Amino acid sequence: MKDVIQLVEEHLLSFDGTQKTETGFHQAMADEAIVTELIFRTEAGSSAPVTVATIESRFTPDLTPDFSAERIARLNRRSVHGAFFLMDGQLGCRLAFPLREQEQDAGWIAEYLVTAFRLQGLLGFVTARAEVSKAEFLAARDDLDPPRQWATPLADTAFEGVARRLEEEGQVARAHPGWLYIPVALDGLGMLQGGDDAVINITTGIEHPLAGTGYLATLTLPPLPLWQPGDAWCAVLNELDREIPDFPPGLGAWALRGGGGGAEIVYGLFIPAEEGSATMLDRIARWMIWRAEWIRDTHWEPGTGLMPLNEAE
Amino acid sequence: MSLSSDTDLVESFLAELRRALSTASASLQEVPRAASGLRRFAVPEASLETSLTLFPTPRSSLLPFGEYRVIASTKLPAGAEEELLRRDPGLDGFATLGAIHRHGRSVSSSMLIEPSSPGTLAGILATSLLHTGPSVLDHLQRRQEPEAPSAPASPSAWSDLDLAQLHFDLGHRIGCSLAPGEWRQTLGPMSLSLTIEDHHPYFGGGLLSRVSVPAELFIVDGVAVPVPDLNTETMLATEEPAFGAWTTDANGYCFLSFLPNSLQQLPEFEEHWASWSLRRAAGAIRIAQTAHATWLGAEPAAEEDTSDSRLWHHGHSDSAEELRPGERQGPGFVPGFRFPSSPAAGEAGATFPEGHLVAFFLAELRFWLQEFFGASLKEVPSNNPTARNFAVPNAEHSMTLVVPPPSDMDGILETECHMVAKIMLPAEAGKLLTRSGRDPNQFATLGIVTAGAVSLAVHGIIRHDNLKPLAAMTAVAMMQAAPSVLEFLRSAQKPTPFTALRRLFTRQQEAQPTPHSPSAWTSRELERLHVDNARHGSSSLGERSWTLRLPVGVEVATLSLTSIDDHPHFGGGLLSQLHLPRAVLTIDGHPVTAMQLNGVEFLTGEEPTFGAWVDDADGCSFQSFLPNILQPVTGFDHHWVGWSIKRATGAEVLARSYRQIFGGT
Repeated sequence: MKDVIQLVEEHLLSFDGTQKTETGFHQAMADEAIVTELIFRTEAGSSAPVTVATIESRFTPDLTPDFSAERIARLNRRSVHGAFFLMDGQLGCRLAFPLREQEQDAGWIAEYLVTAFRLQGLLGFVTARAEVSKAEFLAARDDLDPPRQWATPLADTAFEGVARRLEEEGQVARAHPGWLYIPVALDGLGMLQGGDDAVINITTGIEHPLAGTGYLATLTLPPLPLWQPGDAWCAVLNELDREIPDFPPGLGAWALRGGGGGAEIVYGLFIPAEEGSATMLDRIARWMIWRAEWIRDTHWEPGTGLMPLNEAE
Repeated sequence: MSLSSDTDLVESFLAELRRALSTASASLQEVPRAASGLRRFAVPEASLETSLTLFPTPRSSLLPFGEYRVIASTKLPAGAEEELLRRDPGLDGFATLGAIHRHGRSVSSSMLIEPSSPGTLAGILATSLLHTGPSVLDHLQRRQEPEAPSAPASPSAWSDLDLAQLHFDLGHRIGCSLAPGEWRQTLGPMSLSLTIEDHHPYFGGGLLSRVSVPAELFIVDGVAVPVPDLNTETMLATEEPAFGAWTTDANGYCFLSFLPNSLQQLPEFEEHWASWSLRRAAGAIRIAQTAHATWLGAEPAAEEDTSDSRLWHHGHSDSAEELRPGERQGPGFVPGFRFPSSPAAGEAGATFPEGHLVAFFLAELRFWLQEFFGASLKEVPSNNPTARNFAVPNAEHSMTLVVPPPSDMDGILETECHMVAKIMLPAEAGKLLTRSGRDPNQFATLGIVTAGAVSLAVHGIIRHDNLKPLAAMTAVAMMQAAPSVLEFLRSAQKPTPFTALRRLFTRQQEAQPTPHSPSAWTSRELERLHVDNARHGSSSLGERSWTLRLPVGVEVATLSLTSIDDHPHFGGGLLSQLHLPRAVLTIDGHPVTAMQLNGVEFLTGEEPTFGAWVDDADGCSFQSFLPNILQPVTGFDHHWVGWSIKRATGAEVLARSYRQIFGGT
């Protein structure tokens, strides 16, 4: 954990425009239109204190569109490096990365946090504006110019290997070329027996419109009844996701995907990358399974589905 | 979209629609006269006569919030009909935002109001209202004048990048793929494709949407479900908006739509559209099954095909080499019976059939006939161009249901439609009637025995809000009224020496016990009637009866509903007697009799005639017997009381009609 903080510090202090603060780092862009903070804070975990790295960007309200709660829930389908939120009329984006005491992947985590700190604000800002302006979308796409091809694509055997390991651990997992499918039974039955599954898909074959190539992982919950407020559910889940310290990294967002009265609640995680890594794939798969099981254990009532919102809150 | 009531939902949607129409300098004007629960609007600025009908769905009252369907309909000008019905190959595969009516006289689209996407739906609906009809007309004209210039070239507003965004946004779904100019998602054997198009002859640029379903999935009970049936079911009963039409292509069936450039600016348009389309694909088999169950029976058999019924069913083709929509497989297969279509291009699928109200009524009637009497309803050729005839095959008595086609709207949803079920009694009934000398209408049943034709008739005006009870009562009347009357006439005979002798020897067979079953109308149902209807007059509750005294001018009419356990034919049920004092039925000093009222009931009466007028001590009563089977019909009691109250208040008008039509005779 200390390694991560140290590595992050080393990287960030070398960048112009980054200021060190008492609790982390501060960065402002475009005449303060985008302000990003990285904070390390220690919280009580389930068994031991946990240090959580939080990166949060805020955008000047008059430069971002007015988003309703429903549109925030939709905007989050394209989030990268955290979840969009509205607070006091101001749009923001936030991620939380719990750091373990003996972190095995300190190098990767530090690299991710540095990248996220530098890009979260910019990507979030243009993603929000691109929702309402095709011209801005095209301009941002040109400006960002992210990699659109994998430099080192992930071999199909990597997907097969991860699937096999998960199966050996008792999980249902299926590998397809460039794609991993993991259903998590929410009610002890699973979809094939007429139950409900949370469906995890992880693919390297879908490009983010603004962030380019990377890993796209989604966790899709069974459809909500029409009268359940999907947008409110997304907001609550994103909030809970951030509040629980002893949790998989909150690098994605709960969002509404699809439409037409049948929008689905999907946790989407996009990690930009151009070098394929089986370790990364394995790591993402486990984060997603953990999150699905959290939903199953804390928010799911067999036969009913997501429990009423007020109980979740 | 925060809504506190059904009214908010509807009004908010209408506001969105008005806003969308206003961007094209068009408006929505409500037409004042519409049936109960139904609202109708016109779009005066549309180049063709265009209307919109809005109504709660049949299941609306069962949902936590109201569910409303909107049907847009555009009349095609005279002449287009013949052209459409000729079903030239050029029509096949023409994509627009609606389906062509089966009769070829109008085009329609349909949707439920969804709280989650009002702006997008309103935008599509506005485009459909203004352009679906003209686009079809343009297509027809273009076929006649192939050299006519196409719409000015306008590149599609969608690019590969837009499809790439959709690909990401729906990346949580399995089976999505992206190729230059096209996004596709497979769903088992079905698929949805969105293809960038620059050269639609009417719209120019846009997106072609195609939901493809293999032909074998639409074969139900060995019958390939006809495309017009699929379109009907899709328009009337699916949850997904129906902006497009089912048709066929080389690979089977497809639901085809063209999404013009203007739609791209609607909020989350592609995601909504893809989701609706994928739901359509996922529910396609169910739609086919429902369409088969609901609509196929309405199609006359191939051998009964006549030019009169051409509009209603499918024509013939020369080739029978392969199974095509509308053909039958297995024992029922009729060689050569197939859709009218060009072998090359497939079925002209964008057709839409009869009036919505009639369709629903027939579906409901068929359900009742099948479920409770094991009977079916079959359309038979009619020489009357303004009527459709139906019969119950193999029934003991021949029965005909006459449902004139919609007159006021040519299309989707009439406000009301006249229905008469005429049930012929066997020849024996005439003799019995003559011998008994008694008025058979004194026997409480579900219709009027008209002495001249020795037939039993019931009548009703089908309205959007009375479909279910009317269909239920019609089914019961069709199957049970004639036997009950016959039974009454037989038992009413004065015994001659011969019949007395015969009874002596055949006592056992003659002694049929009176059916006895407790009335389904218990004290609880009667009490509810008492509570619910006290506002209409003076209501009183007896041990097994409920009575409502209604003011009619200065007189008082009395509606008595009595629970009966031993009706000679039906057993348990409710005896309904609506008494009108003689003073009400006396016009210009001339009392009008029950027989005379029965005579004009079908001509001018507006309330369903499931019963008959009979003379009583101080006037006339409209008498009916409602068997137990009707009691569970949702809202039945409510409708019956409502009809009775209207009959009471309209009785003087009915009597006056008799005097006006027949004078003093």
